[in-house]
Amino acid sequence: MAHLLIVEDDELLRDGLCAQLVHAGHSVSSASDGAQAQTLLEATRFDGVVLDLGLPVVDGIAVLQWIRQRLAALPVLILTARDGVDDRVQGLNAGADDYLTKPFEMAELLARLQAMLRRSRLPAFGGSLEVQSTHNRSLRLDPVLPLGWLGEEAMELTHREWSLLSLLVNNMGQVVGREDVLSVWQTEPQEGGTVASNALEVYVHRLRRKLTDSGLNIRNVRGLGYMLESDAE
Amino acid sequence: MSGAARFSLKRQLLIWLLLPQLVLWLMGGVLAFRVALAYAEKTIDQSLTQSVRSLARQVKPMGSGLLVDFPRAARDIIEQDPTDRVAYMVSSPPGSFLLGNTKIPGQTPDLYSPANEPVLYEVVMDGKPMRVASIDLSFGDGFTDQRMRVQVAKSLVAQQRIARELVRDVLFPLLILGAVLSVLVYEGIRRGLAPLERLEAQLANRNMASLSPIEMTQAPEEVHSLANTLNQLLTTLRRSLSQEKRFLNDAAHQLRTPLAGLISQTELAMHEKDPEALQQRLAKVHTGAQRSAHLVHQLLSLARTEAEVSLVPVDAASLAREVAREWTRRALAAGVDLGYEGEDSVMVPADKLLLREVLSNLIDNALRYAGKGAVVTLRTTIHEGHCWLDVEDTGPGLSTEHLERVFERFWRASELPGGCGLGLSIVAEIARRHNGTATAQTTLPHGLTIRLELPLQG
Repeated sequence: MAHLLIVEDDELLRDGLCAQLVHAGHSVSSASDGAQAQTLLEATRFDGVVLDLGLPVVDGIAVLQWIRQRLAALPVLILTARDGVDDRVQGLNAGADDYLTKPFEMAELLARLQAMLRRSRLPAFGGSLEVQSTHNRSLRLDPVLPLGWLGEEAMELTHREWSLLSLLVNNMGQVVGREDVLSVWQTEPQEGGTVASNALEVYVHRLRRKLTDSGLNIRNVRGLGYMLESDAE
Repeated sequence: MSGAARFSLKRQLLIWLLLPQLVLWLMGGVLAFRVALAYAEKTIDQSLTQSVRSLARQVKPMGSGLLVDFPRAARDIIEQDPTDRVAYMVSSPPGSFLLGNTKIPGQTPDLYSPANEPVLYEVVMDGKPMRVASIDLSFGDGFTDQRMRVQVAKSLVAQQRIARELVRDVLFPLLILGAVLSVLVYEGIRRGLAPLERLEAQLANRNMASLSPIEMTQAPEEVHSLANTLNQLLTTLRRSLSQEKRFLNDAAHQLRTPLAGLISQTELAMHEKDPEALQQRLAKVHTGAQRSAHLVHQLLSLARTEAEVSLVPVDAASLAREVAREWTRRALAAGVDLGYEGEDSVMVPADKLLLREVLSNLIDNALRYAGKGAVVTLRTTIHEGHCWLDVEDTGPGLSTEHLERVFERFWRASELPGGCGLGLSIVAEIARRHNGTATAQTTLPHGLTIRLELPLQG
């Protein structure tokens, strides 16, 4: 699916990560220190990087800054064993797209990577918004216009339905809060006046109907929000 | 207790008590000398004036000449002291020697001095400083107005000798007084500060192993209160060190046990031929590794609660939803319905990282122990100026006696895998750091509710 670079000095963890990501269908290269990573990044085009912050030779933050100078759009997920807030902030400030604290569950890493790669394919980076359902019918959304396709079939979407669905697709497998949706809606052109308190439920209901038999489902997470998931999950 | 900038109480006291005394003593000495000199000068001037007047009276004008009636006896009185010789001279016109035993120079510059008034000045004669009294007299008739001068000079050696004697008589006792006072002051300071030195000696001999209270039986009041405060500090330190030691022992056991398990399981797995059995061993290794990871995380967050926390306004409701969202995936995998109820927004003074840790711990616990099919609800309630953050589950719950022990370190209600008995003690510790409390109660009809009560943001 994607060509990834794993930069991790601990051999046991590097080996495990490579095997799991290959298993998940990615092609993977690996480096055990910062200098090696820079050599690989200069020679090959990658879709994403998993970068440990505590590296020998050239430290992780330095590699990250080096990447941001040359490959501004390359998505980077950082791994850190230090769980102080400073470390995360430093990493995110240096240009990381996401972070995970060691130890982590492999499922968590895969989901974060998936979401990160999906975001990097947004129009600004020359991609499109797309998720694959188990029924082998992909859901595609136009990144700019309120248009969507379920397989080859065009969907009829209002502007609000489209922006809600975009938000869910962008964060597939994660819960999108009511406040997140409402804050996106508030920045957009209004349709039919202000947002009523139960408007979100109405829109979700409509979207669920439109996604019937698509293999995708919008789960209501009690009091927390909504989550787009594949039926098999 | 080292370095050049060391502040010494003794040195400060000595400087401030003895230095002003020395300055005063020096000033007193100089002043006494000046006063003595002035008095000596006055005495000499008086006797010189007297002498010059009586000598002048002996010189009588006779027509156009002068008759000097200078009896032998008077001359003897004037020249009585052979070491401190008195010089005298009569001259007319002033400056041209008529009579005397020495030629005495006039005042320089030779100002016109009023007649019949003695003038006093100093000259150097034969290399010796002399004090001179000089008087000018007019004589003669109306046609030949003449002037004559009578001068008497005395060596200043006498004056200086008198001053020296005065100074010696006054300053010597002063000097002895100063020395005695200095010794007394030094001894007083030494005695006064002795309890402090004893205290220092007692403290210097201490290390972490001996934190017994300081003995202060014969100390003054001021040092007593200092020693008492130190003793209180030592007691607190001793208690926290023993707690720390116990915790470390417990933690060592908790850390080593799963690692030993991991090693034994991997050793078995390496020699396992049957793929089915190998699979089972690996599953055990995985569980053990997860348990170790969890324990390390808990120990680290417990260590973090020991550090200083800074409380800032945090929206507890929003944070609770945020943390719950992060756990949704795991809740779904565990077959638990995780949800949120309550306020949209509640501001509390909190350390966001620690509060997040509390919520994560409580959700983690609920997911672990409530079991498949349970409902776990995060709930925020505003109650009488406080914020209740509840995590309630519909699991089996705990018996009353167990409810009382859930916040103890390393206490576990069950042997379900994954727990390490630290989660709720961390929750209690963090609640305390937020000026709040953590309580455990039974959810009706069954289940466990952990309630965090925090003060609202004022």
